[in-house]
Amino acid sequence: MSLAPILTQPTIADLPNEMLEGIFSYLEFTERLAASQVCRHWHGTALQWGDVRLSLCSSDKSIGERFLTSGRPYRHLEMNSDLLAEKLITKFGASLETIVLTNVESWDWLGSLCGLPHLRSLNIKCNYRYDALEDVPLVVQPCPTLRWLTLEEIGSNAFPALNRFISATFPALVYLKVEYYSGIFRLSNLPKLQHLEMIGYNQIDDGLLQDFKTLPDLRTIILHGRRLECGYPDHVLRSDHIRTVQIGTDDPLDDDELLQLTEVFPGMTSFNFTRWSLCTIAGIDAARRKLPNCAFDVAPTEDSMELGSGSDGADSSSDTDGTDSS
Amino acid sequence: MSTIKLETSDGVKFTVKTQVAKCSGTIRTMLEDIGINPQDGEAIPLSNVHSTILQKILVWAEHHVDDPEPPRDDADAAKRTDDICSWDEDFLKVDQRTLFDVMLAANYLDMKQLIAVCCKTVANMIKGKTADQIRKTFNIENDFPPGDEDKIRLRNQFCEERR
Repeated sequence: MSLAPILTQPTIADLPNEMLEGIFSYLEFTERLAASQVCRHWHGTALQWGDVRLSLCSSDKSIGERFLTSGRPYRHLEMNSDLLAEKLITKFGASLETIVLTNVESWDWLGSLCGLPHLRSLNIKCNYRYDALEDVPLVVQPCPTLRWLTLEEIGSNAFPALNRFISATFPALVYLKVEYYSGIFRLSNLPKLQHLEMIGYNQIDDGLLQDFKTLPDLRTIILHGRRLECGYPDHVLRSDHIRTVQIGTDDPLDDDELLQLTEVFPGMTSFNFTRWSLCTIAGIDAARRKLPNCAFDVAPTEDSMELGSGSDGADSSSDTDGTDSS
Repeated sequence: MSTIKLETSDGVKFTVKTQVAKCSGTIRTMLEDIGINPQDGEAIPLSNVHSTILQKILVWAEHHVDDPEPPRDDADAAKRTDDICSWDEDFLKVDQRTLFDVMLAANYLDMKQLIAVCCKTVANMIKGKTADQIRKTFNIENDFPPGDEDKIRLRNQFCEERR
């Protein structure tokens, strides 16, 4: 307890342990797993005593079957979706909080998991089987504890039914990550959703922006895909509640698209384009002028750096700039 | 309305409504249990809190002074981080140094609600990030011995029984 005559400049490392524990107590298991790998101190703090994940990778069924007689209340389970998984989930159902299932071939899995009283995080990997997930179940029973849902390698394009299922079954969803091969994902009526990550073919269009309107708590969107369609109509539908936007596409982002994004997401405080961009320094500056409170993390093209700012991106920034005209 | 005086580490004196000051468990204890009499006009010394931070914390306390008592912490209840009210969200839109300063002061002053909302805010800064991104966010040095990544993963096996 030293006297502090001047302002201290504390970092997160100055927080007492019980506070750090307090912070970690708000994180999901997988987040705490990541936190435990940050530094030695966090390693000892981020994981809790009961955090035991039963992760079965072996194809040798007899190994997994031994756990059917275990008295340990496993909270986290990761395994191939098979008969044994069904048995283990039945056995540990009362304690399970996190389930990662791979090679899922039927939506029945989702239905059977909904009754688990403490299930908070669910990760389903479908292995891009086209025929796997055609029959989305009607609502089995709501699962109000689930806050994290990750659906990976979806081969199906039965999205409307899937969306209805998600909205009706997981009303408390905060985090949703969907990775799919084709089709356009639509979602709505998730009042608590904060974080949306979509990997696959993406299109920022009226439909998606309409979806965002029905997600009042949405703050972060992460869109990765081959390309991003910025096909906005003249009347721009704004999503001003979104703060963090991260985009990564194989197709480069250009100045016009960047400026359009500032129109669509005027409440942005952080924008990140993770791939190769065609934006010029002038184009990025124009975006910065438009949203001065937003941190833009976009690498300008090398061309525009050689040319210096102002020459290449003049046409796209002219509406805010006013000085450059063609 | 009764007021009391508080004196910060840098010698600045604040006159505060008693009710607002009592948002702090530490001050409440001083007044009620130890019997410091605020009528004497003597300031309660807060030797661990700087005036700029106390000022900020008093703004928070003033806003939340009429909040109902929070329900008892239920260990089984799903811990949410999405229920920070927008006023608090704006209040905590500060640089990291200030945020951690507020947290340390809130800890010293024993202000559970403020601590909770700060912890949620920091948790939200961690969520969805990899270990490397977390290090960058908070400027934390990776102090695992070099080449130890595999060992870390091995040590993590106390939480991952791979078969």
